[in-house]
Amino acid sequence: MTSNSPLSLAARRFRRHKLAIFSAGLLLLMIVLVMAAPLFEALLGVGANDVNLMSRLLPPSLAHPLGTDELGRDVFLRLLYGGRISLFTGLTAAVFAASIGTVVGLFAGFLGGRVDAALMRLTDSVIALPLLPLLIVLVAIDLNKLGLPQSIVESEDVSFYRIVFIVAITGWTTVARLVRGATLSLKEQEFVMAARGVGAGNMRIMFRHILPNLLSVIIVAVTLSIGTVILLESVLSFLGLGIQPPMASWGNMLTNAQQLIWEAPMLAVYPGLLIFVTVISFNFLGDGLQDALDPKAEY
Amino acid sequence: MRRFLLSRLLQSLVVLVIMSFVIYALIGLMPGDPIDLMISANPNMTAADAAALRAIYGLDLPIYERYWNWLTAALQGDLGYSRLFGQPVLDVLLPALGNTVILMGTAFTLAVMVAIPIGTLAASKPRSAVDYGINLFAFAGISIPSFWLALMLIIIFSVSLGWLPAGGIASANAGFVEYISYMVLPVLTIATLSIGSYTRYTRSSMLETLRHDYIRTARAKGASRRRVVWKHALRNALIPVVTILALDFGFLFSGALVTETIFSWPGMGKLIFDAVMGNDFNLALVALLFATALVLTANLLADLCYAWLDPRIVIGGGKV
Amino acid sequence: MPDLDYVVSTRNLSKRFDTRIATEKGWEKRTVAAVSDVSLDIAPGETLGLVGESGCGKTTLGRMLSLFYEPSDGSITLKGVDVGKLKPREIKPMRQQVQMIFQDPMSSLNPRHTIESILTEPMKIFSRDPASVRRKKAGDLLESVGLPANSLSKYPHEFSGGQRQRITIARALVLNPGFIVADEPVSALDVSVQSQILNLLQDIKQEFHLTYLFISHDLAVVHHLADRVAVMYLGRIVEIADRDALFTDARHPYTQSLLSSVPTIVPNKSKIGRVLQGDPPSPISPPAGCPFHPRCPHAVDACREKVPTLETVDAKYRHEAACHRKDEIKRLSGDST
Repeated sequence: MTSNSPLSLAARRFRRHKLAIFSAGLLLLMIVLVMAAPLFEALLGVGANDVNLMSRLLPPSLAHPLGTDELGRDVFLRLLYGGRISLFTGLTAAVFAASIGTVVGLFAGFLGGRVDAALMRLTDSVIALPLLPLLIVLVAIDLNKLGLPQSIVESEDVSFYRIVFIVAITGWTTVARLVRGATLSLKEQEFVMAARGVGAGNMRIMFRHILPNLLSVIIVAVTLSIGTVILLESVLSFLGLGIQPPMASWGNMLTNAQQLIWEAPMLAVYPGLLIFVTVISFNFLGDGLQDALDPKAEY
Repeated sequence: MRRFLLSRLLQSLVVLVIMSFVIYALIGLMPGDPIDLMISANPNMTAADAAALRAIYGLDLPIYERYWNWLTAALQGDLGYSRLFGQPVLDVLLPALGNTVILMGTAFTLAVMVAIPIGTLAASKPRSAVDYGINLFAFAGISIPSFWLALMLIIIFSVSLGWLPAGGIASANAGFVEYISYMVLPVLTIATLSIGSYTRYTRSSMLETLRHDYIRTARAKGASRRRVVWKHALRNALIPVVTILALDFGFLFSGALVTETIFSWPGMGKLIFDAVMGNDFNLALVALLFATALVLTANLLADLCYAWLDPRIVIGGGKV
Repeated sequence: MPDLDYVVSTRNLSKRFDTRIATEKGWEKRTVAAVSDVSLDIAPGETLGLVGESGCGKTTLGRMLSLFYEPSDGSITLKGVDVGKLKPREIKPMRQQVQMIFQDPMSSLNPRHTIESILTEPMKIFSRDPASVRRKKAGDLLESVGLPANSLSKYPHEFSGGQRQRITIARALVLNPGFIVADEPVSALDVSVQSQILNLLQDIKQEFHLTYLFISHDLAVVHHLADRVAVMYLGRIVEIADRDALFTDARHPYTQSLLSSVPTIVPNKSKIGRVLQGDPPSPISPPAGCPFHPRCPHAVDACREKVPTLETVDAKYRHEAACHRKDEIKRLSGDST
């Protein structure tokens, strides 16, 4: 079974990265756990959002594995549901960000010249700007003033859509740079000239010929940016600007924990620890994938 | 050299003007406008009064005309009043700017002074236990959520040990030691965020430099490995690191915003956050512009530094 | 309109590239004349061999003729249409008339596309045939280049170099072009498979009524395949004639030195590039006068001053040479040997 296809070579190189494999396992476990959240709800016999003021800030016990919060809600269950939101937001926003970055990088790298100069100047500016303050304004804008339909503005998920959108329009720059670099070298390959020779136009060449060859670069970029995206989501949620309660996210669970830091410091430990472990796992995984798929790149 | 700096300066100004319009437009999209706030303060006001007031304040004009009016006033020094503080915007802003520069400057210096030596150390012994440890530490640094790190530091040093204040800033007549005691935790938070990425950049840039021929020549001439790394390679390895640091000031400021908010440090970040949350349009607008200008200035300084480190830079556009 | 007798004709064709070179004062813009003043005609059914050292401009000329580069000067007439100054949109339909076979079958096949997608793409762009018809045609083409039709679902990395070159040949045939430019189609292949591919090119030429421009630096290969041979030096055609006339009666000293250094016409022992002393002059700063004079044993003052043009040596063999001393060269080189 020693095939020499690019994929099996990459798989062999990836297996050398023990930390990346461990991270992948950890992330898989985490995904399974958050998916099984309703199961744990049934097991413990309480709902994640069930308020019980009689049992505020309880220490860990069999009934509440990690204790309860200031409203008597089960911390363990809320962590699982918060994980669902944080992971899902992270993945969705990273995919959106990667799509924007891929298109920008593809156009800049393939078309070159002025298009390239303009797009890269834009990318540099976005990277250099103080993003978080600007994002805070973006979060604060009144969706009614944008003329969005009332049904969207008032829907429960609006904070989710908003955070995905906001993270995506700022998180695309890394992908754009990586994709541009890869496109610059790919477009010199003879198969691009061959495609032009059989009548393919720029769009067809970019999206049908070059894009499939960017797959490994994009996978690496998405993996690496999921970490950044989850951090950004949690910061915004922590500041009260992201996912809105009662929907739990790891970020907004820390907002309340900050108020209770003298009474119940452990409430501030769990969600942040999970964010930290998730982000560092995605970073290790991305690093391992990068090494496996593009052995020449030295991060 | 002068042309390079001039073109950089011009570019920064263009970005600043574009950003001022973008921010102006975004602030206009925030809920309510000054007249709404007046209406809520004065229930006797009629719709006709409100419309008349809007006309007086020019709020019924199209966005670009309003922006132009604001810009001409601002350029003449009229930045308006802060609603939250009841003072001219500039009087609120300048002390905050000072506090932020102190905080960010200290954190940045600390980050660079830690990251460059340990990044170099890791590169000088690639694949050793030291390298592995530093790498783990760097990964942890880029992966840790800033606000959580801040909370953990508070839990450890304020809640449990009681060594340091959990937030705020020393009063004006406090001594130096007390002033510093308020700075330690926020500076540690901001610096940790940057140390991770700076270490990784330094390490990979140093590894790249050590592959060059002149390094091998220096080794062949009998210079010790340590001498080659720290004397010959470091300066060249730092050139790409400086470019990346230059792009990082925006990130640093973002970190400062979160940190200042948590530690109630009265800087620009907290000011922006409070202004946006409190619908203080004038203050939010000017503070955001100041923050952008601050970051762009830092970028310019980094460009200067870059040109100083790399004498080959003659004209612009040579960025990697 | 004599052009209609030919599949492709060029008149005073030139291509210059702007480039930047490193000098003591930093980067400086220079213009490189890759192809200068080339006029040639290729008749239907003919194989024109184009030989020269690497860097002489033969690939640039081939790419202009296959519509990849726009000429800087001069004209190209392809099937009676002046294609030199067409806009990109107008070039597209002309791509059905000419196809190129590339040197490296490794990089000219998209590693992420199946053979089916590689072979059906031209049809998707140019015809409205349903998928089943496209698939059938792709399978048929694979068989005519000697590969089983069930290879369609495979990826390029599953094939050997020779098989991959067969696939690029099949791709070149999809649009039924009358004219094919083959740019060193066998030089990246193992010697053992070179002759198979050359024979395949011969076979499909009959079957699909093709006209070839065959670019090579291997004289034996050209002798094997070409009806006519053009010799290129520093962007110019210095001699062109029917194959046998060129190989037996060369009139340009450059052609002569190429031939004299090839004792036997054996593939792979006959490559140009080791034969002449010294490197060819840089096309960035070509010598004045005849481009060959710095390396020419027979150069006289005239050669240093005036660029020779192609002039007829023998009309019967359409033999032309660009040498001031082409009429005395036989005697001169005879003396020296």
